[in-house]
Amino acid sequence: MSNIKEKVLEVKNLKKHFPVGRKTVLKAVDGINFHIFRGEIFGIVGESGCGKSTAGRTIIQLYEPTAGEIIFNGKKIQDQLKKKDLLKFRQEMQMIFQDPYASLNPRMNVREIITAGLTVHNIVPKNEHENYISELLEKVGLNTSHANRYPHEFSGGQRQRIGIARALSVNPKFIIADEPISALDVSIQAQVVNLMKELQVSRDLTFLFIAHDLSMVKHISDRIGVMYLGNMVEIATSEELYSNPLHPYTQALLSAIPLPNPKQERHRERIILKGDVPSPISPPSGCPFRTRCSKAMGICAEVKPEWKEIYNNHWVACHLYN
Amino acid sequence: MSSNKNIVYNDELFEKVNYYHVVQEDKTVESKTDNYWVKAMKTLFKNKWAMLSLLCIVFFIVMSLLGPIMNDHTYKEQDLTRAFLPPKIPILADVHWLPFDGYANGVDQYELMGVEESFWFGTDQFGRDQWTRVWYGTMISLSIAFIAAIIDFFIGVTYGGISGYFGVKVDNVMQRIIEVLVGIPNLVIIILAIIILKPGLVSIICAIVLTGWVGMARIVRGQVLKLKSQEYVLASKTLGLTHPKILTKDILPNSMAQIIITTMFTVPGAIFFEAFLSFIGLGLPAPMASLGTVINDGFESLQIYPYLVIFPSIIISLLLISFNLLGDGLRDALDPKMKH
Amino acid sequence: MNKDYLLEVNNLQVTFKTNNTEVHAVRGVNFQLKEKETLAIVGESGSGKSVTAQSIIKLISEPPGKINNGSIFYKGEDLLTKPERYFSSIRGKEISMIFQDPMSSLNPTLKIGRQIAETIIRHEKVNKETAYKRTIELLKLVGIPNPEKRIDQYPYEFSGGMRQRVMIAIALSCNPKILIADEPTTALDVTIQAQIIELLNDLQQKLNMSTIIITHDLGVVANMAHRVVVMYGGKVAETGTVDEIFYQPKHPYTWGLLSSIPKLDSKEKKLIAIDGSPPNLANPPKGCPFAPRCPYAMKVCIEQSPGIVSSSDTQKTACWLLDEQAPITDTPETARIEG
Repeated sequence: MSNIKEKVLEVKNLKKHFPVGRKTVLKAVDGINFHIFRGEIFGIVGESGCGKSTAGRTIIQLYEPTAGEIIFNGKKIQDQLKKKDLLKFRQEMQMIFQDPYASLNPRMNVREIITAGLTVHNIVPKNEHENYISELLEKVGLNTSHANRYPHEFSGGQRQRIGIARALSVNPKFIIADEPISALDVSIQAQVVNLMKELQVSRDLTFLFIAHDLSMVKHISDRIGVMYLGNMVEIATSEELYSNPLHPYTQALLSAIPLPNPKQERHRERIILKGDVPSPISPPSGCPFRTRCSKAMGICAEVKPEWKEIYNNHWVACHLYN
Repeated sequence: MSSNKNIVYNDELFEKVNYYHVVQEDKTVESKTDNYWVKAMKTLFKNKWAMLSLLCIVFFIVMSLLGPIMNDHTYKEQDLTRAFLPPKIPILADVHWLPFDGYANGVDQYELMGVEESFWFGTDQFGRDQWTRVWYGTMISLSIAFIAAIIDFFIGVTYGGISGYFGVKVDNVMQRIIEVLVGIPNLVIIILAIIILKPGLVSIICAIVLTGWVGMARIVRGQVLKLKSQEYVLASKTLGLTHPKILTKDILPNSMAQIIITTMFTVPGAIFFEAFLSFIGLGLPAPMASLGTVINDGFESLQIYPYLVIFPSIIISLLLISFNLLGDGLRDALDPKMKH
Repeated sequence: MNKDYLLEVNNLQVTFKTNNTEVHAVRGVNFQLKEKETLAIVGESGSGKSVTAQSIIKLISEPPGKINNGSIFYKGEDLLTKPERYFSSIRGKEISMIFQDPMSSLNPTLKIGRQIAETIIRHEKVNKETAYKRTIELLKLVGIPNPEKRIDQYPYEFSGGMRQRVMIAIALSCNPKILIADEPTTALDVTIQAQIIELLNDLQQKLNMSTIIITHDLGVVANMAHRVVVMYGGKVAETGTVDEIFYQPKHPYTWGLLSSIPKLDSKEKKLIAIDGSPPNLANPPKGCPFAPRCPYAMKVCIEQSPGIVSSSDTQKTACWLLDEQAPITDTPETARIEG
């Protein structure tokens, strides 16, 4: 990566609340801050219900943010509501979805699925569609003859490749991958991850990689953000996060991952978190993690910890480091 | 070591094969399978009852078109000199256990009244040819049902689609309107409509459609609500597709199975409803005929001249059963998950 | 039937009939379960691991499924020759099972306490009071706080992890000899998964039962299993003790699995993926099922099914590479794990 890192995406105090019933709101994302540099893979990890997918969908404007700013390529997205700007944004930022069985329209064949975006953004003239699609399919490890097939004829891994081809079809600069491998088999996961890494280099892409599997996120990402109950609790480079986790939740998360190494596992000291994640409808006061934290102090219940840069590029929200 | 030790294998067998070649072969997907509609139709063709029903429906449609022109009578031609003749079919006239011998009360009514001609289904109180009236009535009933179903389809799909897709406020308003419509008893609305519109074909269709589309709208809305959070719809949104495109390319094709099934069940509903309206006297004005009015006319003299009711009743029953069985068959074929 | 084994599965073959194809889900599987051990069956989706486990207590619905061949010996008797009603007496009592999705296995309209107590009453013919007392003990055993209060709650009032604990409590209610756990932690979050793994390991030691755990996650295997059965394409690729499978794997599929998972402590930037996709078992390959994806495949692999080679008392591998005539092939660097 070059020395002068250009921030391609900046998220400031982003909030997304969903109304649940008449008076209650579900605070899916409750004020998160981070930025992503051009050309890097930024991972977000967290358990189900931590708001990581909601964050991704809000950034790509599938949901309207409740509060906060999203700055993409130096422009505030909320200001780009003009039709032309929005169209440009839709071309530059794309998404890869989680469920390969639900993310492809079952009534369209592969060609129709990929062509949809081409016509909207006039990527190539119509008479070149055929060639363009062939090239794209080969790039993601499928072949031209697959263009006439329907999604149900493909395996999970192949469907995910089609999803990637669809996202790539409009030449995006930034891709949000929302749990792209969690529905796939172990041996297929590696194929898809390798493909994304290849594309990152060959197409000069920036990725936001959302997943719950910390070992895979650590493998693929340059920097990682850890989310808990709608809040970002820690951000660091993946090496730093693994070797020097600061937040007690990150420590517990790392320690909870079962390693495929029986001898090591027999001697490993585990931090096993007690209890369950509280409901995002009525989150705990102060620090969201305090109800399960072994190091919780009095102040944790009263004041929400500040989001601070402890070391260079290592951010954490925890009273222990105050 | 090996359990196959005693068998000597040729050394050549242990040469390494071109690994990439094998992988490449493996990458081609499984043998081409039928697309959704072809598969559904194949399932439907295998369903005996649905096919029998389809045959039955086709037969009635053909007869409703051909029946009225198979003899020289029209549905409104009256001749009181030949009123209440029992059915008589020349070929079957000698088989006395069948009701086609022209006898009533032990007397050959045709001889009694001096009628040369044979009326296959007999004649009614005004001497109108029952055969022509029954088939003409079938044609009118089917037309009403089909037209009503088509209009239901268009209003219901549009209304339900918009209501479900745009959600929140739009949905709220549109659903309240439906609730108001459903809240008022059907019959009240229909009686009012018929009073305003004057009885006739158009007003009956209007009456049926006025509340009939609600069912379709609800089904479509449910489908759209379910589908619009599907990841492939989200994918289309992130690609920048417009709302009408998403509705017509992603959402409608995937709701089509439900829509077709619902339409299939709307048709028999409309046939029955028309008959019901005619039966309570809100139907077509005389001398026009529908299955409902024909049955209603015959009902007045049911005990003396049962044949006036029997034939149209058999037709309407078979039609209703066939449409329902075909609908069931379609549901099994288009939406296999609904089975059992 | 060997006396050392509590359960012995021999040449099990199961097929499923759909419309016009027959899927050969399990094609001749052999394995044994000893007393007080945890056996892991590892494989990807479609490898036949779940079908194998379900066959043991005849949870395969016939049709479309059909157990075509094989025998399953439990306590000296072949379970496959037993009538249906025999199974209802051993299910839950001798062999019980827990599943991936605890919500769909619990009745949402009945209180938790009643669901557990009813299982106890059905199998052990005790009175209601004893059953409820035992229910509370069980809930305590599986680590549910305030069991006295919790028995009066409905399944929706429990979180995913708590529900899985309830399922474990139900499975343990009649002191089974064997507990079969089918992907028990797959639907759970990592921190909750760690809790359930700890609980299952704990219980296995406390209660002296044998456990069969079915999973695709090698991390879970490393944490729980004593012995491992690796399945691929409806067949057993390799069996061995957990250390043998992780540190001296002999089958190229096991190598592939170990190479394709990211290791938290490594700096390696590229994963070694297994190319291609699993075989279609409606039309299974005649040779080794892994041959089309195997970087070491030889002609013989495509032509003929490999025999089983024992490389130690406990490790058995079905691979042509171990034949005398085959070229000597070492475990690739990427599949090596430092113990």
